[in-house]
Amino acid sequence: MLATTRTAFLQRTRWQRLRSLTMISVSASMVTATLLLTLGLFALLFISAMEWIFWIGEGGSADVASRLRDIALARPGLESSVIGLVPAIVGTVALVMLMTLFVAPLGVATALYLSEYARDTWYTQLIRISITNLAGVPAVIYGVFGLGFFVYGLGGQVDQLFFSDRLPSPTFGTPGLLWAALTLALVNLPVVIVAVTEGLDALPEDLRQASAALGATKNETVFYAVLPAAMPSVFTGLILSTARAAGEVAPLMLVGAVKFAPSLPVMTTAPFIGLEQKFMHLGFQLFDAALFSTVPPGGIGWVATIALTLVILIALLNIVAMSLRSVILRRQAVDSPF
Amino acid sequence: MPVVNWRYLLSAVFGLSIRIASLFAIVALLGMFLQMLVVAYPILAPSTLVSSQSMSAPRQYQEGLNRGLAERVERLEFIVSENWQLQGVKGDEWSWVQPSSGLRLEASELPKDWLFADAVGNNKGLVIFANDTLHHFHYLSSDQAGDAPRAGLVQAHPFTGMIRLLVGHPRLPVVAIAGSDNKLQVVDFRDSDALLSIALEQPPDALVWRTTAQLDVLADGQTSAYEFTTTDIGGAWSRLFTPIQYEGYERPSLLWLPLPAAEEAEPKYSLVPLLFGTLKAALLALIFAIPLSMGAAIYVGFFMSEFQRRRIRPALDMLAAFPTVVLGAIGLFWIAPYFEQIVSSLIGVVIIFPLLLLTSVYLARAFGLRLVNLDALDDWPLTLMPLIIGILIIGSVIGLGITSKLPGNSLYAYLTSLGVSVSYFNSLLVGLVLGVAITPTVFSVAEEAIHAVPKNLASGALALGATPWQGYRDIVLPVALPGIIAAMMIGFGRAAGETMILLMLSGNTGLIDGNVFEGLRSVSASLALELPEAPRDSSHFQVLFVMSILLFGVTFSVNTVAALIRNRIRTRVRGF
Repeated sequence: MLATTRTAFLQRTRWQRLRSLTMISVSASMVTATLLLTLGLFALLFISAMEWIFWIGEGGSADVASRLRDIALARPGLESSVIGLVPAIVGTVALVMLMTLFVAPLGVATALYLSEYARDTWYTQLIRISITNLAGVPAVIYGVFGLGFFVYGLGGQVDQLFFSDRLPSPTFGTPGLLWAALTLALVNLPVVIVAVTEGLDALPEDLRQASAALGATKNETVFYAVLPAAMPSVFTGLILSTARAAGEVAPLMLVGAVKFAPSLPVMTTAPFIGLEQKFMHLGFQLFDAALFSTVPPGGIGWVATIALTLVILIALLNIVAMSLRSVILRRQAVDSPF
Repeated sequence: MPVVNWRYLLSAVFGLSIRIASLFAIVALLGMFLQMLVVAYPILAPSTLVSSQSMSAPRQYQEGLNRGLAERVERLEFIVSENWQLQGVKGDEWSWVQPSSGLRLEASELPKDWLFADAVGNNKGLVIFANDTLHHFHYLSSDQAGDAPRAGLVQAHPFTGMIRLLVGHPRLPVVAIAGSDNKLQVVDFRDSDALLSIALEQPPDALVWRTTAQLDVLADGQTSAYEFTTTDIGGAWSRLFTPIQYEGYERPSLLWLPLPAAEEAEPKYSLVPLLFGTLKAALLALIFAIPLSMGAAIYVGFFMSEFQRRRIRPALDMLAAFPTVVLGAIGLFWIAPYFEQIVSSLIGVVIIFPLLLLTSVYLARAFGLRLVNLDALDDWPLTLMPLIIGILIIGSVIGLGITSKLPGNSLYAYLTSLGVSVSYFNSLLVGLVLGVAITPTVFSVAEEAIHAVPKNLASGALALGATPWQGYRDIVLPVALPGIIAAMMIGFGRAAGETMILLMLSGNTGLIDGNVFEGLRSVSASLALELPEAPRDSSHFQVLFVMSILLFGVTFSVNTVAALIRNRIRTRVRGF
């Protein structure tokens, strides 16, 4: 009797152990598969791009130098649908900088207000939850809003007030750099607010109390003690938002990115930046090249080159943000004994 | 002299500006929804008819006058198609006439005792007044070429009172009616409740639709114009969601055709195909993303040490560095052309994967390789890598082998022979690429939920002799389950709003079809494709705004529920 129970128990145990082993190995292989997928996608882009850039000979370019010059600066022609990367990179950078100009003060101020000033009532809770959830709202919705409100609403007003002599051809009442930057700022505002709020919540309460004990007012505490301590999280949030802005294309299709802009939105003379101009964007260029440029020397290698540039740009921004975050974590570990 | 405390002043200004800026940001973010409602609202507004102007000098409307007093008219002719006409004679049957051959066929489906009739909607429909009822018919082409067309009843609308004139709208299923009681009425067949009425001073001689929005009334040598404003859905918002009997279509249908080919045809705005496409793509994406992200989340969140977890998470997060436009391009150039082979390989891998994995792990144990060492679990993903690459290769070979043995020698040929249509840009392709796009998000949220469960709970179970998997399944999973569900919901929200991948890979065909090898059209892709082209404040523009409000509402509420669930677990595990 006892022996049968023991055997049954051992059998069950063996079965359980085997099952455990299987499930662990399956889940471990999913980690492996995800890593392989990431590596594979990157390798795919890298190999295709390199093969195309350094492919000299029949059908290819005469030499690597002219190929690189084409990749950087080519203008669209009859025989080629390739448009150089440099204008797109300039456009992307101008857009992201302008967006940061809007999103940084607004995001930091809102985060500071919500976690330092506002009383903890049901409606501040509601606002917090709404802002967190707005981070998950698809970017194309912001693009729709940007087109309806910024371009047609605000832009139309600006035209009537300041550029009425140029009407009916619109100046600001049409998609352009300023509206794209504002739209992207809205897309990223929740991201920045959430990141900065997390940083502020992680700061030790002692910091604020010590400042208050020294006779500082609330404003002085926030300005001279809390904000400097929260700087890493501010930068993390901003860098993450720039990474997102560089890869986001859907809203830009609605508010101002174009296939080819005859002039750069930045210039060497005043006012230095063409706010009302349409601009080129790396992500949009990739979209356009992937769908419409199949004429040699465009096609697969060219698409891989643009995609690789974009991925490397975003990966770099992400790595910087991640290392900043680890700086914050390390600092917290040191601060915690207080 | 008073001392100015600059530090204090500066910080006070700073404090004030924080309040102003945050107010601005909060109003902007929360006001977005309201602004979109304001833009979209006019599409839901009912049609109106107002007197706009009156001219003393009459315009010559010979055509209008000729068509005008219909009491005099005994015989009407309507052009149905290139070959066919419809003829009506008072007190007699309607008949289909082929002018080239003189063929005449009876049209018994049309009411005999008609008093008035006129074409509506770009000659695709016909309104007949008979037996105190307005009948709205439309023409259907016959099944066989050369046969007479048929007429189908769209709607019958009771109408009492004497009619003096009846004139159909050039583009829409709308008629203007002048009654004997000097009342001008506009009947909109799209919304059967809509009946616009306005009193006239004297009985009109003729009614003419001067444009699609202007109705001219000729009376006593004078022309007065009435403005008829309507949206493309006639103020009936239910038309966005229910099957509509459009003129020329066999049965009520759900169609998204905002820019019909014929210039004056009625645009068709059913949101159902787009919502269906969005849902289909998002669910398929979840099917691909869940095994990958959940498996990885369980392993990293539960089986890995804290040290290894910190090292491997950034590597896994790198998948998020691929923007969706890049994934779309990869799908377009490297996946779509080989998709048949990829699906075949995937079938093989799914069949062979558990089998081979189980065998190799069991063999390893049988030969005494102590793989299941809890301390070595950190290295498993790397030690398994050659094995997994091997399994992938073998699985692909087997999958390709199986599908090449199918009748027709390929997967697509076999599916086609089964009657399953296959298109180049299909839903399965979208689901695969979209699944890769949402994997980092789902992984990250699920992993946090699993990792938030204190390890000492499971350690207790392990000390009592539970296997590691039992520790996870019986102790950790019940606590983390709401968080895992939240992760799936967030992934769903992400997939539902994703634009670029759908734009590039879905084929953008607005079908309602459960077949995963057919294309689809999603709400987000329609927004990105059509909004830049839609004229400002047109019905199309407004319907697109209605769509974006719907998408906003769905993603926002899904995210809110997910956030509430996550908050609840956070408070539940706080006690440990």
